[in-house]
Amino acid sequence: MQFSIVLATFMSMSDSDQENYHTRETLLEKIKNQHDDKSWEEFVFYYKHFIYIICRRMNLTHHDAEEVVQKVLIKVWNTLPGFEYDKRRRFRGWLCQVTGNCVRDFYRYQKRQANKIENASNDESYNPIDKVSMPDISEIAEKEWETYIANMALNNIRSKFSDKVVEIFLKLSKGSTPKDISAEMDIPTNTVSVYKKRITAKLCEEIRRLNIELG
Amino acid sequence: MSTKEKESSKIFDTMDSSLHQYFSMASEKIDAPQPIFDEIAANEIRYKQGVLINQGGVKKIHQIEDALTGRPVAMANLKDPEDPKKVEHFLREARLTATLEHPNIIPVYDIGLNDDGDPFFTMKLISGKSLSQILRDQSDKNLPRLSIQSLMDIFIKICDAVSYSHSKGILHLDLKPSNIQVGEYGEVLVCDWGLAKVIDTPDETIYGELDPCLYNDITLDGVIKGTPGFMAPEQIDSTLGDKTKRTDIYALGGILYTMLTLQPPVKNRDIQKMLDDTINGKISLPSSVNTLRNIPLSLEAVAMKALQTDPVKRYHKVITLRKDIHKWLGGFATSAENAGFTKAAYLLFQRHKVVAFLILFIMISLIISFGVITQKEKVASEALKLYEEEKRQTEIIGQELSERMVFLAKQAIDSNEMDEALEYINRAIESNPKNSVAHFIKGRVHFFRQEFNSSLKSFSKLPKDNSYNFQKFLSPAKKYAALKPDDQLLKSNDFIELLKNFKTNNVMSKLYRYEGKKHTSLQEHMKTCAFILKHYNPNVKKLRYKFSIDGEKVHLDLSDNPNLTGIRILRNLPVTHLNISNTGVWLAKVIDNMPLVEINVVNTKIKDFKPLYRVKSLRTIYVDKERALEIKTPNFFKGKIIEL
Repeated sequence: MQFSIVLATFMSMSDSDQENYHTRETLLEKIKNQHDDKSWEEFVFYYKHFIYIICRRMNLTHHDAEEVVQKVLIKVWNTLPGFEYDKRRRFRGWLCQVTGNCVRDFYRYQKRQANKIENASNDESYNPIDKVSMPDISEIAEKEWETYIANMALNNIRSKFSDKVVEIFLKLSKGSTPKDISAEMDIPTNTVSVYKKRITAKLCEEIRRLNIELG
Repeated sequence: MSTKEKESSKIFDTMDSSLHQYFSMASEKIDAPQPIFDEIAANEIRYKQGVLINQGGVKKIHQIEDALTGRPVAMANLKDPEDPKKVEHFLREARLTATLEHPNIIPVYDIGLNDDGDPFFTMKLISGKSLSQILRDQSDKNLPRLSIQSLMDIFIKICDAVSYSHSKGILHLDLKPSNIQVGEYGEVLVCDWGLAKVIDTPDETIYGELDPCLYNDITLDGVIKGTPGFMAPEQIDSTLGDKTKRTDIYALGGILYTMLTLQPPVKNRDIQKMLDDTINGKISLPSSVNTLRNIPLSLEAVAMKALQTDPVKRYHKVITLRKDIHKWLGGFATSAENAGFTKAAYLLFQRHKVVAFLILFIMISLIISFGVITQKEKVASEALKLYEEEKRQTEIIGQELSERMVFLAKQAIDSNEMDEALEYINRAIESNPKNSVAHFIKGRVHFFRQEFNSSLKSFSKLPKDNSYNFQKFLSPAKKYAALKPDDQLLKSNDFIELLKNFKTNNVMSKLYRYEGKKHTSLQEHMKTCAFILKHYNPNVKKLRYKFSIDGEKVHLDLSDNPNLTGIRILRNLPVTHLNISNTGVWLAKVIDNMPLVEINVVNTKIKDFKPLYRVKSLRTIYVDKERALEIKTPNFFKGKIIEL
């Protein structure tokens, strides 16, 4: 079974570039093979926010999260060239593990510092990681990844639809019924359904692509 | 990247978790529609039962659906898969065809064994008709006729395929219209390589010689393989020669003939009669067979040249045959036609109909304008303009004709036809006196003909810079021009001195070949031959030879030159009694041109005596005692064998 897995630099990409995406290697393969600044920049661009999001979900503050993100990125950069990319074992899983470890290290460090300075070893607020086991982290990460990709996908396809259509779509996904929207925005219900169908198809397609690209 | 500056926190804050649902929606979708993948994954039987579309003596062909690629293919099976020898040969044919990767050769897709362990191979399934069907349709008045041009387009593609296979060392040996498939979109495929034979192996291959007995569909007395009409004489009677590339060229000639006349070169109800006609070369000219169609004489000439009974007289290579057809398609004279001046001019006219008619038109308008309105100056100046225009056109045509003649002259030089070459090159200069290439070639032709004064005269017309490489001819030409008038040949001693100037290039062979044709004294010519013989056999320190002429008998004794191996250059000597005993000569073929009556081959390295049987005049062979049997057993030689 062979998939030609491909990459598109979606956010800044023109349509004609998108036509060509199937000739390119995946982002991961690219970084692994080239290990240069340009592909790294691309990598950071896609994964930095995701790592940040996981950190925040693991109760780090904005400032601490930024710091841990840097640590994770450095670790990834050093490890990636030798990383055996297995299509069945997701890269994301590994990334998530690295992030989890970094967060844990961070807490331990904080704890030592706190012990030294304040001798307040029992303060639970400094060690929330003990309550979050690894499976939980990957669970969190998985859910965050899906949301992250879905958001990115919508962002990518946004330019293909009018603002109004996107607005309608977001309303629908938050639970509004076509009927509500029809009444609210003075658009026939049928049209709303057609909009939804169109954008859903496109969005799913983009999600699938991103997931293959970045997963 | 403006988004890059966007804070992670901002993305974190604005993430819309309601979109999460679409992720699972997308994943569901990706799992469901993989119909092709599922089909291929689930496939157990690649080829299902098909419909019989063709069968021969050994194979059957079914049309079958290939479940993996999803296309219909043609599958070949053995009729008798029990015979292991047949199985092996069947698979060899498949492999051999598979090695031939050419757009005009049927592609083999797959080779394998079926569930019963029987071999099969699959090929492209061709929609469309076989060439024989197409040619048959040509006789049907209700169906559209194909032009000779479009038939020649098909023929060129057949030539391409055969030329390619020859380059791979493979002979088809069963070329005929029914083995050529012509698709609906003009694709031409040469099929059925069942009789194919590997003649030489340019690269290392695993294919040995195929046993043709197993593949043919027409068997006559279990001996002859092929199809009468397209089968060369040497396929009918192996004593006439080996099967070579020229055997396929004969068949190509047969196909061309059939395209022109809509019937094969030999036609008779009695197969034996057909075979006799083939061997005796009883083939009627296409133009006399099919009088309804206007058959181009050039193509007739090409077909007849390819269909020569003697393989040597046929085209030597498919590529030359193809070139001739191509020339015809482009409106040139073919080499088989031996185009004369008028023919070439006519073809030139054909190619430039527009220009030619323009000239005619201009001439007529000139006559009219001169006859009717001579007084009117204005019109007269117009006429002058037209006249100049005409002159310019004539010059263009002259230049082109000149180029064409130069081309023909070069061809004639290549085949050592110096008389012809001179004729062409003179015409080239006549058509365009400014053509310096023509002068250069004329200088060379005269030089080869030992006409040194004329040669110098031609070279003097060339620019003195280095654009033409004639300097090496100048000093010998000057030297020998002083020794004799142009209409005489050099004395053999002088000639040998001349040859010594040109040891490394083919000037020597041109000079020598011309001398061989035109010499007046065989005795003198033999001296030259001895020199050349020594030149080509550098290991011979001192050549021992005796040459004598006694009435009609010409004796040449080359015996006791153990290092003498190649005597090919003597081919055209009219020797009747040849003694090559105690030499290293190993190829008997090179002497089969001589009118030999007696030959001594004792203690030579000759491996195969067969070429000697072809020398009809030969009466006596002297041969080593232990090898006499080799000549006696095939019983082809009727003369005396003297064992020494």
